[in-house]
Amino acid sequence: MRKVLVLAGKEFRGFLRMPLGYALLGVYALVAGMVLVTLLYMFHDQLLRVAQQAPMARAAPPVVDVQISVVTPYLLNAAALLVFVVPFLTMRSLAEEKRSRSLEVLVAYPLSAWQIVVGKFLGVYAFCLLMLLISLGHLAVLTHVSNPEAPALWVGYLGLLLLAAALVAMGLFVSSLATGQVEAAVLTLGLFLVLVMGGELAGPGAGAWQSVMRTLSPLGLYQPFGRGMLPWDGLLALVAASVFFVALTLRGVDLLKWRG
Amino acid sequence: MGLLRCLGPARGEFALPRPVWPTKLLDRPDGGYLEGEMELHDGQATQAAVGAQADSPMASSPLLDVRGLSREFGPVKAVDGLTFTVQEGEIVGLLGPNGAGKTTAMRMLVGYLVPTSGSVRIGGGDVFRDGARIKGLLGYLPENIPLYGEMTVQEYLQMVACLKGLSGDAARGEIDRAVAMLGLADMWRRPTSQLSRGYRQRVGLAQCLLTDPRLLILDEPATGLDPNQIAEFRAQLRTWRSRKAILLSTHILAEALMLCDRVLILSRGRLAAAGTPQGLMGPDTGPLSTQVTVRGGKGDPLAGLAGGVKLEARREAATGGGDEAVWHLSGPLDRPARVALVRHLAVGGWEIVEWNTGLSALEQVFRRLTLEEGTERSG
Repeated sequence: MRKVLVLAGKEFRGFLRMPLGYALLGVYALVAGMVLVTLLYMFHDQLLRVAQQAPMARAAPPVVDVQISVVTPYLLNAAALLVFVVPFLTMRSLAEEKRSRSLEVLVAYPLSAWQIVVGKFLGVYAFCLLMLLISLGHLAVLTHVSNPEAPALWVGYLGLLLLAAALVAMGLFVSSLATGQVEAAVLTLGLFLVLVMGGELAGPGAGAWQSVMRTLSPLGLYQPFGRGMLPWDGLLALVAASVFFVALTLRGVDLLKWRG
Repeated sequence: MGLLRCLGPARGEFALPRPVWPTKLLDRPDGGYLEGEMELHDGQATQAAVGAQADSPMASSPLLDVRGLSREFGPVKAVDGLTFTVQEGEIVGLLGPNGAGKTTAMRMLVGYLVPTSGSVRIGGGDVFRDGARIKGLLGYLPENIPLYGEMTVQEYLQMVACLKGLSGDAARGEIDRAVAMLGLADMWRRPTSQLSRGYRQRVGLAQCLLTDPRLLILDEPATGLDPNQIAEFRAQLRTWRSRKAILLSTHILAEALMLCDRVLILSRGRLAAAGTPQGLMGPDTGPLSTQVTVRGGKGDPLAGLAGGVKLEARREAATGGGDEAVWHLSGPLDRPARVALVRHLAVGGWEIVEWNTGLSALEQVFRRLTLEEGTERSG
């Protein structure tokens, strides 16, 4: 386990030594922050409109809920941002090691393939956690200006943690197959977008293939979390996806020995 | 004198030694051979040679034992039936032109590539089945010295020490030893991305040497080094030789000549020849010996040679015919001796047609083996 943590630490520190790491942290924090500010302004405008129309309205004024108007859209957008950012985190994890031949040196150490793969997964995931930790600052602003439901917020963030793990595992798998960083990034982003769009195109229909497409969509699995609900099937699906793709990556690394 | 060993159906029988000359490179031996002679190989002969060697009661168990190693990439056979051993206390050079299969072979030796057939045993264990146990015996450095540019030398070596199973005082001791041996103290806190090629190679060697492995596998370790660095590198290898088995690949013949106890010449994935550099070049050549072709004079060209130059000469009829004769001169031939010899030949009316040093002789052998192997394959 010590070797796994050393590899994870090396991977994590690597992001902090590169401009790419800071760029991704900045982009995520900035874009998510801009989304929050925009939603807060829209929520404020909505409140003003309701307040102005209330004396003249015959029926009860509509309920303007911060959870529905701000928190849920913010969390869903934060999840969508992960889909675009994670490919750039995972692209160099294995593809660059193969290209530079440093993977050969790692294989020549008394290390097993699972130690290499799990170490890389934990390192990249730790950097994702840092990204999400920074975005907790947005929640501090939100709780200062409004009164969101705390349990719903934490469920939403739990969902982001699980979603990040699944996306990192998928990105790691693609990186194990790619021959270079750029190829890995493009293929990973393409895979994510196909799965997400597939879930959107499936729509709310009850057919079998629609159900499968929605299940395969990372954002589709996250949606209940964003609404403040804890779906046990969604939780298990995201955990299973993480484990599945880490196992596939392990297989991919083993297959390298056969493919060359 | 070396031990007599024998190839043939009845292992353990002794046969008369066969003389081997450079002009008989294409003969296929089926008899005995002397240590130091060059062997020509096809797959079967090589297997028998290893088998005989391994079965001999006088042979110690090799640290690296490669048998019938092959690797195919689709229709291309990158390595074909490679068989050799490396003992502790020797440096073995893997020579070959670009594309000969050296790097592919090394990747299989360290367990990065699975061979299509054959086996690799290090310290008696299979590199794929017993990997975790035997990889502690191994230090490996690929050609391009892949380091992690974002890490300092200190961080990199500390990481490698941990990955190799070292911790605490043991790790610190090994790192200090490697740093002192390779002169890395001044570069300790520098990012590896800022190091020169020479220092990158030193850091690469340092990571190899942590845990003091018994077997070093180095892929083109001198590539990109300047002459001073190459000399330093050779000196380092010589200090490690007594305690380690070293396999290095190179296409620099001078390096093989000066450094290696044995040389394996690879051509298009196959072992074209194996033996000592002296055996490859022939009995009258060596790093300090010279092959001179002269014509035009009469009698012995060395008669009356003064200046204290002591050479052994052997005359051989030149292939060109006429009065051209090939004289093989062996012995120390430093600069004053060369000057004296040239002056003497000129005074005696001898024309110098060709002048080859030991290195040129090895180069000729290399070219003949690797180019003809290609011709046979394509013909």
